[in-house]
Amino acid sequence: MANELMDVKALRINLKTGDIKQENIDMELVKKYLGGRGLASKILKDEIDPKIDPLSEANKLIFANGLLTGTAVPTAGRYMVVTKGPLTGTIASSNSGGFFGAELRKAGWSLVIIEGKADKPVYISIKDSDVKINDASHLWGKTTDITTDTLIEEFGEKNAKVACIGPAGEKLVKFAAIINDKARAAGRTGVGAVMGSKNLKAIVVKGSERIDVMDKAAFMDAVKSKVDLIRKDPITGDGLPKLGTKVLDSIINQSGLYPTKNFQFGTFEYVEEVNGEALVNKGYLIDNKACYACPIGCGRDVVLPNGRKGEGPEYESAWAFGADCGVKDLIAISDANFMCNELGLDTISAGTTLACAMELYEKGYLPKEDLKDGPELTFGSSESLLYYLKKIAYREDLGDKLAEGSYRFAEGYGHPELSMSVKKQELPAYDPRGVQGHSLEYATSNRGGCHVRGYMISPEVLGVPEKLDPQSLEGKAGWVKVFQDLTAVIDSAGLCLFSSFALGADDYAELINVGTNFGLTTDEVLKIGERIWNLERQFNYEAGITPDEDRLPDRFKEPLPDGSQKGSFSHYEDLLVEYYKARGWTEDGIIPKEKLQELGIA
Amino acid sequence: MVRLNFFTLFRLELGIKSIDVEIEKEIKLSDLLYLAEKKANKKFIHKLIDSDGNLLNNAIILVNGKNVHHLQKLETIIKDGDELALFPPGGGG
Ligand code: SF4
Repeated sequence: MANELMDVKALRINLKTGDIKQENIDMELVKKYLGGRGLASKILKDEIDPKIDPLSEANKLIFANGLLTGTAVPTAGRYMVVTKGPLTGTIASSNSGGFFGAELRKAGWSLVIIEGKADKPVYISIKDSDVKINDASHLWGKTTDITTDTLIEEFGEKNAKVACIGPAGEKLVKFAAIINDKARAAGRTGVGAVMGSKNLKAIVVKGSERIDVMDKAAFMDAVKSKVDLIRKDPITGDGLPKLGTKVLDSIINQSGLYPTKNFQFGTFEYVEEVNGEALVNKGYLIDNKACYACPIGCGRDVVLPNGRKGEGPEYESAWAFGADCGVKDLIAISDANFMCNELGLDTISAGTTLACAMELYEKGYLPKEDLKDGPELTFGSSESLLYYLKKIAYREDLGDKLAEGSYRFAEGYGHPELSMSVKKQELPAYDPRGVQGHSLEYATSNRGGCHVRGYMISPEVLGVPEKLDPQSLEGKAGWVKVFQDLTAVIDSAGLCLFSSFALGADDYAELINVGTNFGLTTDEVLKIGERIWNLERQFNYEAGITPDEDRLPDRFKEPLPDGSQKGSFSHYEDLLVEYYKARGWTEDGIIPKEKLQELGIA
Repeated sequence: MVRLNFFTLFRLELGIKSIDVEIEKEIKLSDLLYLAEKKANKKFIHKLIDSDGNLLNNAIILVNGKNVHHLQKLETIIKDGDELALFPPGGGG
């Protein structure tokens, strides 16, 4: 079958009735939302009541390729999983790389919309237009690595790609991930639990059609020029390939923003034991790895002295199990990361939830008897990491409560203020007290605590595209808006956010235009991002999540006790009104009707 | 004495963790970097400063934890006892 970039098709699969339908997506809608995060959010908002229980049958789970996913555009291997999230109750969209998304697009599908709930465990197989729902009883309970190997063998296509859940998704852990290609995760917001609630264990896919564009020569010229920019840039051409995301440990620690022991401190005394340099110097790093069509290759191929091997750990994951839990054992940290991939857990939420439990335990709020036979939950205990991760994934003993995420866990012990989360999702690896724009970004993220909705660390710490003073408030609200809108574009185009260290809004506009007949200006492309941002925000509002939840834990009103940002605290509240204004919302943070109309949402 | 600590790719590729430079009086950052390069006998300045002599936007040089982009950039005055952290451009997330 012909597979044109401008031919956007969806598979609609109802697991209750077994109906499988093919739909063509109107190109006017694609022009307004591009694909991936944008298009799937639009469909979700149109099709479900935002008030539903995320783990009920009424929720839908959408696997969505970006507009350019599967093409030769650098980093065009990304897909999103969009649904209503069980951890936050907000719209959830979780991004992943690897090869699964591109394979799905090569099979002809930009979207797979999953509805209903199967009576028993099933998996979906897709070979171009041959789509089936199959029994998965033999896979239920299996880890993601075994599930992936088994399915590839059964399917009889050794190059098939698999996205699946592990035991954590089956057990409806609120921060369960969907893992594709064994080590790439649609990690955040609990999308794996929604998949589990539908009794859907996996999707296996093999595609055979290249994607055609109208003007191939112009397209390849644009691709080549962007690959050159990425290769020449010191971050994407040198730092990320050689050190991966763990290039950040030393930078963030020296900048005093490296959250330690559940965000009580901003520097970690054992950072030299666990940083990216240590991963290389200790000889654990074997090679770098790249996702589909990626010239950067930030992935890590690691073999530990205990013989365990796998991909990672990434900066965020290693931090969550390292500094945040006070653990300095790089082997245990890496093992915890591998374990999360196998069990299907989000590393950031898992680590930060354990860190919260450690603080509750050390402060005496979590009684020892609740640990049953488990090791003491003290900061620095690498033994407890591995023990409790398993307990979480299978919801055993204390793991059942931890599986609800840090907010509900800490609330259950009477101290929700010790959960380092926004909208109930755990915060990642940057203390917001020392970076005011990033602080605002955390508070206003549409999917709860998250760093990849508008990565203000880039200008405020890393000097890309220019260096902003992290403590200054001036102009930050506007910066956050533009970063959030541009990120929504990148996610919806199907590209990796890391490409933005080398590429700017004009480059993305050029790539979108050269593959389509959209003829969009850069401003119009950013408007698409703004539309997506507002649509997500409106979904959340209709789900009952009000602007009151644009807030950070009270800890961040207290000054940082150590490091180079000692004494600073978060001023996000001072920025909120300016931010709402920059977005054209009311001063209370509500989107007025006129704004929704202007963006073509209402 | 001023200590310069090297991180990330500097540490791995130059094989230097830190070097100490004796200074007799206060000195400009740019001058200190040249002194340090000489002492280390390894080239690293080209990863921080462009061919026109300007500090790169994404070069990270901290003096006592403060980024020199928000001090006087290459004109920042370095005093005896100061501690520097040097990183070539880096990013992740
Ligand atoms: S930069 Fe890293 S995460 Fe992004 S596409 Fe490339 S290898 Fe994957």
